[in-house]
Amino acid sequence: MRRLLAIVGKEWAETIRNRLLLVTVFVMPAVFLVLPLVMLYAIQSEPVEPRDVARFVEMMPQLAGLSPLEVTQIVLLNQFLLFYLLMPSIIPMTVAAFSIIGEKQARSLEPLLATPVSTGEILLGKAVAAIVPAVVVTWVSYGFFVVVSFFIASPVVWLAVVNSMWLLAILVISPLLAVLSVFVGIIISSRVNDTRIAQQVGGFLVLPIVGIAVGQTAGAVLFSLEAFAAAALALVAVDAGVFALGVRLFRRDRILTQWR
Amino acid sequence: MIRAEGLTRRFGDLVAVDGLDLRVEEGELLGLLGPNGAGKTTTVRMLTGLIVPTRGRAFVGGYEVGPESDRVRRIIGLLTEAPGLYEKLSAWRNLDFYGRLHDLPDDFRERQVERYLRLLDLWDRRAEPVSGFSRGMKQKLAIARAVLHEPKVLFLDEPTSGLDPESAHTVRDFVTELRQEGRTIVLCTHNLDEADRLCDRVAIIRQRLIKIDAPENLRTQLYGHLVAVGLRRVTPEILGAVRRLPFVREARQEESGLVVRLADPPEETPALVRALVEAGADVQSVGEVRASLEEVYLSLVRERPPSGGPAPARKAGQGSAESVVAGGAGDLRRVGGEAAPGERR
Repeated sequence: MRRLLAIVGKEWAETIRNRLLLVTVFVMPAVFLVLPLVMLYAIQSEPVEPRDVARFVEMMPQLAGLSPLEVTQIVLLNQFLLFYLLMPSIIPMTVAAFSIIGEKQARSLEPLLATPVSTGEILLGKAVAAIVPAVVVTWVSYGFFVVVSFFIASPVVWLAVVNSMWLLAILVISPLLAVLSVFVGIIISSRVNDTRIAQQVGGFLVLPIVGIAVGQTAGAVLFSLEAFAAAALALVAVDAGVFALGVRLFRRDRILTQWR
Repeated sequence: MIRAEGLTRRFGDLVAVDGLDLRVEEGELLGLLGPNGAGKTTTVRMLTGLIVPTRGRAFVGGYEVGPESDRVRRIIGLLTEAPGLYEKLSAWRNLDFYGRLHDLPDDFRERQVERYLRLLDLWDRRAEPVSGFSRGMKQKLAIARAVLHEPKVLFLDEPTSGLDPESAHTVRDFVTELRQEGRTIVLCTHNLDEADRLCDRVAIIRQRLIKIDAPENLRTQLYGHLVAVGLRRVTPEILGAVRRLPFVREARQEESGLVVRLADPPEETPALVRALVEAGADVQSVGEVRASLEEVYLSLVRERPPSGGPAPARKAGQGSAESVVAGGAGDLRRVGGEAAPGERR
């Protein structure tokens, strides 16, 4: 446990000294926090006609009876809240890629592997160091969003932000996405020596989330608690797969003889 | 302390190390020499439990590498070819991190970090990021990292490579101190003068072990005990008088005198000089001709093909005692006036 904490501490000490990485960790949450709040606030002064939202009411009957402004705000919030899932999908992968590729570039993996630390401890330490900030930032951003929207939006709109579906997404799916992200980052990092390439390749991970957001706008995808629960279960299975692959790749012999 | 038996490592079709047998005694400093690609780093990686052998076994401190690599890593320290430091972190933070990985208690860890930073003249720069350090400072910090937990066995890969003479001197002194403390050290180096000065024995490898012995013995094995006698003039009578001496094994005329092979130069040289004087020779200088470790190394390595297969047919001027003496005579011409380092002492 002491070694694990030492690795986490070292990773964080390096992260806070890496300005580029800090920008990635903090700018995205800031954008995803401020943008929806600004839109939520700004849209209140825009006239919305019932015909503008008829399509959404048709798709989501539970919105029937709400004012056109409330329907618009709820649809927008659902979109923006989905983008909150981008944070745990991108941040851990970036941190992990910087960490491992950084070690490869500095050639610091070999002396590290020559210590009594196990590869499991190294892997877990790097994963924890990447996952925890991403999940904390996501949760804090969401918490802040919930508090601010309480004062901006009507109670019925606010309840659309804190319903069980979004709580499941933020509290359960976010960490699962972070785990997926970090192990994808590790797998990619074992093959490339450039963090930019790792980020570009890892960028494909966010495509399903963006696709779901587009699908929702187009009316092809409907959000529901059941759909999110199914997504969470699927993520558990995928996480188990990438974790196994990551552990397989992260062995002393492989790192020193097969990693590029 | 270290024992390798038939240690072999293949990477696909490439045989990096092929059936290496090696023993290093406790407290010994062994130099591991060989050309690039000879398998030195692979050997060290196997002995430190970083990679597993394809075949063969190795024991370090009584623990078998592979099944007991976790225990092996507790008693070893490794200086890799590149310092491999965390550049954004300070010197103190780098060492402190490794102290934690070795489970050093807090008080002891802090004392050790301070001790080695002071010992290697890095104390005043302890809070600065390593990225601002010179190559020599980084190397010293990497050495401190390797010894922080007081390992019994040290593997040092090119510890003075790329260092300026002053830093290299500091590092060599430090290695000497570590050896005097009784640690077992394996030193990989291309610096043959360094190996000659520091090592108890050197192992020359090229996929497999070519030769292992004390540098002094290796030099003697190459040239034998040769004495160079500087003479104003060499006549057939003088040469004949020398060759008739019972203890002279061989005598050859060279440009500036004679090269004489003796069995025991310290005992036999006075009698040789007396005989020369009695034969009317004007003796200008007398000195032992010693092969440098570089000559020994080149002679041995050139005999072996890279794959570790059978030695090729010897070429003229290589390998045989006679031709080596001829080569030595060439050196003698150089050392006749002023001695080159390692050739004549």
